[in-house]
Amino acid sequence: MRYDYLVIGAGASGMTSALVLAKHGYRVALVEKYPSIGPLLNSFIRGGLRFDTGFHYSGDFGKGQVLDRFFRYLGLFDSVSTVPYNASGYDVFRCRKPEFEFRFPFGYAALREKLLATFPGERKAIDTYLQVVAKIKVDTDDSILVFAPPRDYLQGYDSVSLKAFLDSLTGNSLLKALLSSHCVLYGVAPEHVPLSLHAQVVGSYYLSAHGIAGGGESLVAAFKRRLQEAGVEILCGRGVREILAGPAGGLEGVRLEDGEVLECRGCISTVHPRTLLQLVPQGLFRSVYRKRLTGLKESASGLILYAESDTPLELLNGANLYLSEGPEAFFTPMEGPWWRRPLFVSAARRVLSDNPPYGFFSICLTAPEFCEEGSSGQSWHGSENYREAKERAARMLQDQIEKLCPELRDRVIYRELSTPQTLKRYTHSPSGSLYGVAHWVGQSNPSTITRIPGLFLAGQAIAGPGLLGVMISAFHACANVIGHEQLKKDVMRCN
Amino acid sequence: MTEQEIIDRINSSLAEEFELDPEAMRPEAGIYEELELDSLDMVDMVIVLENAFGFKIREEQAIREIRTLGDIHRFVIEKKAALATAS
Repeated sequence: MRYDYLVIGAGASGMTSALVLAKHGYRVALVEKYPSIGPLLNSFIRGGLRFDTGFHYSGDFGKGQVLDRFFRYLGLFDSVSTVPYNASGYDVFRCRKPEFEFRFPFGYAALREKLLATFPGERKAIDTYLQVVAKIKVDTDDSILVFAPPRDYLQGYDSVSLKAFLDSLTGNSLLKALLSSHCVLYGVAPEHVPLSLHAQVVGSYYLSAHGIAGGGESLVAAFKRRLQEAGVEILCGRGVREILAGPAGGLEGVRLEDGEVLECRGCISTVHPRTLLQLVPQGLFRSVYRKRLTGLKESASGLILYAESDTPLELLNGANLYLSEGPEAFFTPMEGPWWRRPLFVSAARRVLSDNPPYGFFSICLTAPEFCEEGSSGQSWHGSENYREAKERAARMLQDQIEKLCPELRDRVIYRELSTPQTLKRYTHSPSGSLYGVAHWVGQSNPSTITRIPGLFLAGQAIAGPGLLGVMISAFHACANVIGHEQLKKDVMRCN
Repeated sequence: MTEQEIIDRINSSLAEEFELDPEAMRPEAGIYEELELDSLDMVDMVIVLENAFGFKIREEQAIREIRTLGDIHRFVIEKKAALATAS
């Protein structure tokens, strides 16, 4: 079978890439190793509750913002709708020593006002922080929506970390912890995350935060419907074994794990860059590029605890919790005993009605190799086997959650715990990290273009994590095929 | 480090990492034409030079203007001299 384009991997970036290309008249196949599309976006059900595993909430869904435009262009709003979080407190930051709570409101002006009221002596630091974040966010959005091809591949380097930036503004630990708390959303410590990436992520949430009605599962269903309408052939349970190139190095097709060859003239790979290296024949990438991809750092992995309650959890209705013993834990969220690290808590909902929530999941960041035998000093295994270690970890996390959030005490039953091993198994990520390749100070992540004519890259390793990051990467990968001007015109037409 | 040592280190690092013919590493060689690098390779070239000399050059405008291997030699020699003066 001959296609114009093959898209490898049916996560959000793969589904987006396939749909954009098909909308432009290309004959496209979407190949996914997992038995169904959107494996990480899907949810699992326990006791009548739907637990989302990948998508929880997102910024940038306000009218005219990047995700809103992408969704309109792809026709996804025909089948899904967004649900705004609490405008006066979508993220609740809380620590015990000192006892402190802060609720993030929608909008820079409201956030500024609230920060100034909470930290009256920090006016200069707060104003500079918000101005810089807003400027980076606006500049990034501008360059995203013009779909300009990169003129300078050295762009995207960023030598300033979030920590260095905050340290230059203030010595107030609580304020710095508060402004660092969203690091759980990209899985890199403030010391290592480029300020630019942090600003892209939080800059979108500072405007507004939305969930999707019906969760990640309904987003997958919406994608599926649109992909079928657009004529994309979906091949699930089919892994790619190798990318085939002709004698001149041009892409000719892929060979699947079952031996079938799919011919195509181009391909968008959304798999982890290290997985891609196993698919590309030796000699097509320079060794220096292979080395760069091999050396890319991984984002954090984590333990995720899933719980349900008999009574509605109003506390989590339209809000997430960021919990910690003290502010310092947010500066080094992956260091120290794992049960003392910051916790992110977000709602789980009943299958038949979104609100109010009757459960939650909680993420505690760990290193991806956390459950491996002999991993450094985290006493995960000890003398126990994996299952016993997992049960013990679930109890310890449960105690910590109830200590930091007494409202949940005696109200919840703990159902499941997932580990980096679980993530590895279900997402085919080589390390089991939460967000795949990290965005790291001084690191140069790959761009959408490769040396192999016709082979383009998308996925969170390219532009950023989250639904926003992966959809940006997909649109930009497709712009190389469709033409940057054309895609810009088409996307901007959809208001 | 003498200028010749700097030049030798640049040539050997680039030849090894980009699998280039050591014979082709002449100062007048155009990096795009003779050495057949492209704009995508610039990222990796900067990383190779940074690792070889232990400095950061990725944000400098001058690195974006190099056209020949000799330009790279001059850029690195000047950069090292500037760093030596500053320290």
